[in-house]
Amino acid sequence: MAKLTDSLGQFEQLVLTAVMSLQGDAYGMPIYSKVCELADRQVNLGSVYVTLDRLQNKAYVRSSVAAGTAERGGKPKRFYRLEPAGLRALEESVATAARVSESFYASAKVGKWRPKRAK
Amino acid sequence: METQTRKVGPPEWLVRLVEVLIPSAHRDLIAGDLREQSLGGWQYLWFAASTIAGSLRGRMLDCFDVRLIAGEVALLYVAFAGAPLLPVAIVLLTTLTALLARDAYIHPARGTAREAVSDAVAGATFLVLAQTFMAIIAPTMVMEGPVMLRGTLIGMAMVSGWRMAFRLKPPNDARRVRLDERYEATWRLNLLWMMAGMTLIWSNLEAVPAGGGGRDFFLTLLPLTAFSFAYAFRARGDIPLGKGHRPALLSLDPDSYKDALTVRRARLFGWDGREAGRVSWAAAFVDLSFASVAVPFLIALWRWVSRDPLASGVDWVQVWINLAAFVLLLVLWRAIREINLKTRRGIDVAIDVLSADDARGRRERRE
Repeated sequence: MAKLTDSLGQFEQLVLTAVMSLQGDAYGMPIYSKVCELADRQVNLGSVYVTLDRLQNKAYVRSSVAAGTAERGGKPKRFYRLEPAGLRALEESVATAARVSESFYASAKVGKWRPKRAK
Repeated sequence: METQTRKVGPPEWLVRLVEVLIPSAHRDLIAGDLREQSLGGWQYLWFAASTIAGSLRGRMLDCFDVRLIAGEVALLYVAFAGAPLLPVAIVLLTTLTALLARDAYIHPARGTAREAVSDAVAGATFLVLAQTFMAIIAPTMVMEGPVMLRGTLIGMAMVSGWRMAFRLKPPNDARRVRLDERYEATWRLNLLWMMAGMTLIWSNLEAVPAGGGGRDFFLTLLPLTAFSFAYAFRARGDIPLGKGHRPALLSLDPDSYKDALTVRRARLFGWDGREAGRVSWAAAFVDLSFASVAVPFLIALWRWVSRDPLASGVDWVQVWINLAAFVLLLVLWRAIREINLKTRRGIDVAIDVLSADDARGRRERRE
């Protein structure tokens, strides 16, 4: 099957998935928390913003700025939304991951795959 | 009794300091997120430091452009020509690191004069600091004062021009940069290129000493005169205005503004295939200008081939460096012409829009 979009890196997949699952509440901290949850480790907030910028340049997400609140010291929030191109890219990544997973478990089941032993 | 707990946050001065250190593209967003989290002192500091480091690292990767860096290395090397290799390597490493970090802070850059000046100041400051540090720990690695001063001044001027040229690409394209800013940025580049050309001409004369009187005067005057003629021929084909007419850029009258844009268009360098016939004289004079800059190289070569006693007075290292700089100037001329052409096309579009508006207004008035 021909690929329609640029392939996503693992971190980009995590960030896109977070934006998709948060829907209307996808801005800095909630996205960061969701990515940490999905990755099962602490990630870097700065890297999340850099990745969001890259995804925006690829037209996978779009953003809008909302006025700041008192708890943010009046600093604005930037809300992100998934674009159709982003959804397609994510679907392709998920399909690839599913194929890899299927192949991995099939190989493991018939004993083709053995982990390397330390010498 | 209900007790109220008050979270001890970081001091306000620390919060403000951290906010200054966040790269500008994300400053408000990350600053807001950090405040929203209400972390305690050390926790806040650790989280903020790692966030800034992550943001900077990502930005530096995004900004890294091998052509930009290669150009900076070449220009700084030329500027510090004559100095020992190791101190030059230290200068290159310090300046390039400082400029890369600066890129990360100001990304996406706008290619303005203010940015160019800040580039030069940042690079020069780090350079001086690094040399001061080296003077304390390894005095033999420090550059001589005059070489350092000359290199810093010339190097930073050229590097900031080079960086402005490479920043004139998306997102700073015609749609996003106002026409006036684009025109001014283009002219700043032209001036920097011409300054680099002048430096090369003078350096050539020093590297290849004159055998007789009048040569230096002739070799300085000829390239400048030829280039001035090229410019005059180029502009003459474009300006349709009568003598004494002074169009105003700030005028509300569309015709006057259109005339002003036409003048600006004519003041830019460069021509494309469609104008080849009209400006062939201009092209010939540019070629003559470049050929006359190359004359000292030919003189040096002739002295070497003919075993002229004057060959011993030629500074061959400087001649080779200047030859490399000459090739770079030729390559840059193509880029300069291209940038000028793009700005001219931007002005053409603006003139077309104004003309269309005029026509629509006239039609509406008739109706």
